[in-house]
This record gives sequence, C-alpha cells and structure tokens, in this order.
Amino acid sequence: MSALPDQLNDITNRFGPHLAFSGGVRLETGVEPDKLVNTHCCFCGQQCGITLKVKDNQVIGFEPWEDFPFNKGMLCPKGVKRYLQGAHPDRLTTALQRDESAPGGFRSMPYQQAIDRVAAEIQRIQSTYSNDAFAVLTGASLTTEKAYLMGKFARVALKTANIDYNGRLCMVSAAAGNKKSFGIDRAANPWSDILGAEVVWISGANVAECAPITTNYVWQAREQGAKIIVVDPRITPIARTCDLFLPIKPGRDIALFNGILHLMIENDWFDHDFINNWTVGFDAVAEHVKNWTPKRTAEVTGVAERAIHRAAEWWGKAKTSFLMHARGIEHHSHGVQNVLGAINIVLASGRIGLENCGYATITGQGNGQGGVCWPCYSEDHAGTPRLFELGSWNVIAKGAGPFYFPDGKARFNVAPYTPPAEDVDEEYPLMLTTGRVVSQFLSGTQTRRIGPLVEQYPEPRIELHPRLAEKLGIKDGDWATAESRRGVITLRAQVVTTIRPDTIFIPYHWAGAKSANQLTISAQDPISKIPEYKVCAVRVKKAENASDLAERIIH
Amino acid sequence: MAVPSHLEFFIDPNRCIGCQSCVQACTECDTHKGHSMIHLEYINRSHSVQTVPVVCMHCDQPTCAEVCPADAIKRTADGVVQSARKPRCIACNNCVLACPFGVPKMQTDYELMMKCDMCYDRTSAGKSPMCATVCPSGALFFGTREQIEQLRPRSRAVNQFQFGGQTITTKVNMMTPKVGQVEYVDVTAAMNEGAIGKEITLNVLMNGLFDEEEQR
Repeated sequence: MSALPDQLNDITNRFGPHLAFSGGVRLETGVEPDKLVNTHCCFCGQQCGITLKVKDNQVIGFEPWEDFPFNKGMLCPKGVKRYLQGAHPDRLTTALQRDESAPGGFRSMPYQQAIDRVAAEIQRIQSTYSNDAFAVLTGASLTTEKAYLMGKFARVALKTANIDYNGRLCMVSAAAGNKKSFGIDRAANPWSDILGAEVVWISGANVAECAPITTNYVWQAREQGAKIIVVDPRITPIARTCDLFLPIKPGRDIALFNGILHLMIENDWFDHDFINNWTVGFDAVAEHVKNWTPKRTAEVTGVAERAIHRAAEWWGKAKTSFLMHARGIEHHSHGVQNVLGAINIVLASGRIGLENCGYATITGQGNGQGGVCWPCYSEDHAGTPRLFELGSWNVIAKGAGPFYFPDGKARFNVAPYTPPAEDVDEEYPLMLTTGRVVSQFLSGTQTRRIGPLVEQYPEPRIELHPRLAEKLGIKDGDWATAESRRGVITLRAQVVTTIRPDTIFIPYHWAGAKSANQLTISAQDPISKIPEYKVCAVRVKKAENASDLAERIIH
Repeated sequence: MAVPSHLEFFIDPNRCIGCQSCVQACTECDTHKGHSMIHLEYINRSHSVQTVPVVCMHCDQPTCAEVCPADAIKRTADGVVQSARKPRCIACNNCVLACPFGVPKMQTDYELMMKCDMCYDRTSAGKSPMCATVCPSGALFFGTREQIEQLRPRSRAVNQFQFGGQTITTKVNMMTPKVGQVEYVDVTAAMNEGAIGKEITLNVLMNGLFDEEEQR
C-alpha cells in the first residue's frame, strides 16, 4: 500500500525522525547519577563496552568503560551519543494498529490485545493456507539466545519452514563462502591476532568508518612493522597510511584474488604441507587461475600490474598474516565468489588457525556470525582462542581435522570471474558504489534520530574525482544528478582525488529522495541472494534548479 | 589535586580518522556540557582524508594568558592552562586572536572564553581526558612516556613549535614520524592506466617498487 505525500508528512510528524539533543538534566553539570550500568553499544558488530549513567530511571549520559577488554573505553561518535536513544520522543511505547483517521495513520492499543490479535491472525493464515504460509523475519542484532528462540518459535511453535534474517541484506555472502570453505560461518580469530600479523590484507572494508575500533588494531600492527594492503575504489581513512593501495574497480575482487593466487603458485609462495594435509580441491583452483596472469588481472581490475606483483609477493612470503573483508566484496551478484577467492589465498598460504594468522569478515551487526566458538582438543578441553587450530576437535570432524567437514579438511572452491550484472556502457558510463559514513549506522533508522550525529554529516553527497568533475562541469559543492536505469538522485557533489575517476560513491543511510537505492540494481547473488548494492552503471550531470533542490533536501 | 606529572598528552595526527568521537565526547564533559573544546579539521579534503584533532597545547608560557588584559587565564603548577575564569573574563577576544594554535573559543552567549583544560576535573583525579579515552584510533593518547614509546616506535614526540620569531614549548606533545615525508596521493596513480597531472606520485606504492627494481 503506497502512501500519499500528505500521509507521509503525517507519519513523519507523528513518528519522526525527530532529532534528540542533550537537554534538561543531561546538560546540567554536577549531576550525580543514581547508578552506572555497564552495557554494549547497540550499533555495529564491534559491540564496544560502554557505561550508561542513569538517574530517576532515565539514561542521562555516558562514561567510557575502560576495563572492557575489546575497546578499553574507546568509542566512535555513534557510541558516544547512543545514550540519546533513551527516552527518545520517537520511541514506540505502546502497540499500534492501523487507523486511517488517527494522526500518522496508527492508533495505540494495549499489548495484550495486540498479542491476541497477532496470534489469531497467525492461526487464521496457517489454518487457511498452510503452516508454511506464515514466515518469520529476524535479525543479526539479536543476542544468540534470542536468535535461538526465534528459530524455535518458527520451527517448533509455528512449524513453518520459512525463517530468514536481515543478514540477507548484510553479510550473507560471507556466511555462504565460509560454509563452503570451512564448513562453518564463525568469527575464527580474536582481534588480538591482528596485532602480531606481518601482513594485513583489507578488501572492501572501510574499517575506520564502519568498524572504527578495529583501526587501532590494524595501525598498532603497522607500528610493529606489519605491512597493510588495502583494496578499495576509494582512499578511505584506513587506506591513507597503508603500505600498498590497490584501487580496484568495483565488482572485480575475484579477478584480483585469482591473479594473486596465480602469482603465489608461479613463485611457489604457498604451503604445500597444509594444502596436502588439510584441504581438498587445490588442483582444480590452480588450474583455474592459470589464465589469471598479472597482465589480465590488471586489465580487469584496473589496478597497476606492478602493484599486483608487489601484493602477491608480500602476501606470498609473509610468515604471519590476517585477511579481512567486509560488505565491499560481498554485496555483489557474485559476492560469494569474491569471498571464496579471498579464502582461497588464505588457504593457499596455510596461515589460518595459528597465532597471529587469521581471516575474518568484519560483521556489521552484533551477532553477525552467530556467536563465538571455542574449539577444543578433546571433549574435556577448556577451549582455544581461535577456530581451525590443528589438532582441535569439533562436532562435525570429530577429531579428523580442524575444519567443519567430516574429513576435517577445508575446501578450495573454483571462483570464476563474472563482470557485474550491469556493466558500464556509452549510455551509463560510470560505476556507482555505496557505503557508509562514520556517524550513521546502516539504514539510519536509529542514528538519523540522534541530533549530534545528524549534524556531523547531515545529508548524502556524490563523491567524484576532479578529472571526472571537470569533464562534467561540476564543481565541489554543486548540485549533481546521478541517474541509473532505475532512478534518479540529486545531491551535492564532493570533488576529491580519493576516488577512481570512473566511479562515484554515495553513502546509503538515507530514505526517500536521498536514498542511494534509487539507483542501485536488484540483481542478486545466485547463492546468497544478496543484492548488488556495490556496483551498477550510472551517468552524472550537473543538476538544474539548484535552489529548489536545496529547499527540498534540507526540509 | 593536580595532574600526575608522569602522565602526558600526545596528539598523533597520523592516527586520526576524522570520526569526531573526541568532539562528540568533549560535549559530554561535566564542566562544559554541550560545548566541544576540540578542533577537528580536514587538512585538504580535496586531496586527502587526513584530519587533525587539536586540543589546547598547554604552553609553558601561554600567549593567551600573556595577552589577557584581565588576568583571567591561569596556568596551574602542574602545567595546565585553565579556561578563562568567569568573574574576570571580559570577552575581549585577545586570547582567541593571539593563540598561535587557534584554540580558545569565545562563547558569546556567556561572554566567556572557553577552551580545553585537559579535562581538569578528570585528570586531576587521576583519570584520562575524555577525548583521549574514547579516541578509537589512538590519535589522542594520555599516558606515560614509556607507553607511547612502546606503542609508537616509528614516531617521536615533539613539544617545541616555531611561529615566526616565537618559539613555543608545550605540555602537550605532537607525534611526528621519525623518518619520511608525507605527500598527497591520487587514486589514479595506482590504477592500471596512465596518471595525469603533476601531483600524482603514489609513494605508498612506488617507494617499495623502486627498491625492488634496484635489488634485481
């Protein structure tokens, strides 16, 4: 049911987003809280510890929680200001039912009545159609216990086969790739393993803005001599000081990984013993990457050939290493293949399941990979800090090997390159990629209600290289229109040399006319069903009627 | 109570990610709630994502205090230059104009200069300043000399600055690289196509590659 503009205004007036700022007791000095509550930040996958100040049963402020081992008091701006969600005017404190005559189209109702109505509707749907006619959608920001309960509720109580989670639009390509390669999707290493790595490889992860606390781990490794390789179409803050930067064309990650593996094999920079003893399928992958010469890899990825050689040499010769990726390689119509390519170069190196050696997808939500496993050497062992240690025991392999297949061996998977679902052409000559800014979280439904975070980055902008901007006659701060086969968006331009000239970037935290998804394509990965948010074809021009646009976007 | 002498403040711009966590947290400090005393700026966003956070450097001979006609700015014995004292400040702006680091801010609503006092309420009680506690990337650090030397083996702490003919020494340290120089980087320099323009040299990439060629 689509809403008319008047209704949209009603909904916005009634339900927000309204901006919360500090006020009242939160701004008074010298106020002693009644109690301090240690908790986690409610946002991303880092799950930083934080202390909230409570007075008269209201959250009035925060204190860093310096004893919490992961972040030691460190926070990003979202963590600092998240306390403003407490007692937020937009919080729904009752159940609501649709009523066209009520302001915003909804009327409050008692919870018991709402629960009775929902239960009756579930029963009606299931008895009329079938148990499977009712589906459950859950989320990766729930605790493991809640996620378990949702599974039980769906399968045991409702007896429906249909349950899914919001990871479908998040890290599901990584989950599928991990399962195909390792037999399990779990965070395999403690982050402290980053600190001792000789080489840290980061693909498609704007670490400093999306997982800010991890920045300190990566840069502390660098202080101790680690080389940092960053693969990204943009020089993000983590890339600014990296030792090797590979400005890849969006959607070509698998080509790069195949090219790296080609050079590892050609130069004998791979772990024969590990591959023979603990993996299956190497020969087929080796055969597949034969054609991925540095020349071809450079042509497809848009990365200089010499840089590919250097990356392969650093990665190939390292004694310890940590490879991280995130949504940048996963949100593709071949996202799973990208992930498999990444895991292939990790498995070939043999550097996994060892101290200071690891692989991780940086998850975006607190429970992105379903909790932590502590593998054991035997049933009475206390557990080890990382997965896949040689000699460790798990329920699938039962001692046959460290990976979660009956033979205990990891799988190499041939990962063929295919271009993005929609490649550039004369009509739409540019690539669009999307991502985040540090002050907002995901779709912004929470963080766009927190005043200081909104003020930090009030509206999305189109990022483009000066070489492109000059061709289009667009100056920094101008209104620019980006157009794809699906839709149009008009935003201010930000002209920077920190992005490829054939690519534009738009952050995705906004809705409606400011939504990057006006442009993105609904092509999906055939395995993970993730949409291709990270690349599609667009064209850009200087916008007309700039003053009207300014009026619209500010209000 | 005084700030313990073995604890020092270190700014490491090389570590800054521009996230503004320090700015946001500074507004939560009890003595100046709602106002941030930190300056966080892009150096030149057109060419780099480099940002720099600046807190009060707490000069040994504070220019702000020297130019204050009302003697409103005091430096305590532990070396912390305090915010202007409300009963004395005449909101003349001399300090704002004179500070070589551009730190003091005039709060016209209160007719009062306010600036970073190194979270005196926290540091004089043995805690770390709010900004240095929350900074997620180590750009702001509060601790001992031994800690910073261990954490930043490639950098050295500088606390002497030259502004024209004026030499200033400060309580707060700025971390600078022991070797090397910083240059702007253009994405096109590492792409598989010819770079254009005069500023396109990608040292993060090219330095290592030239070494490699010499070795062969």
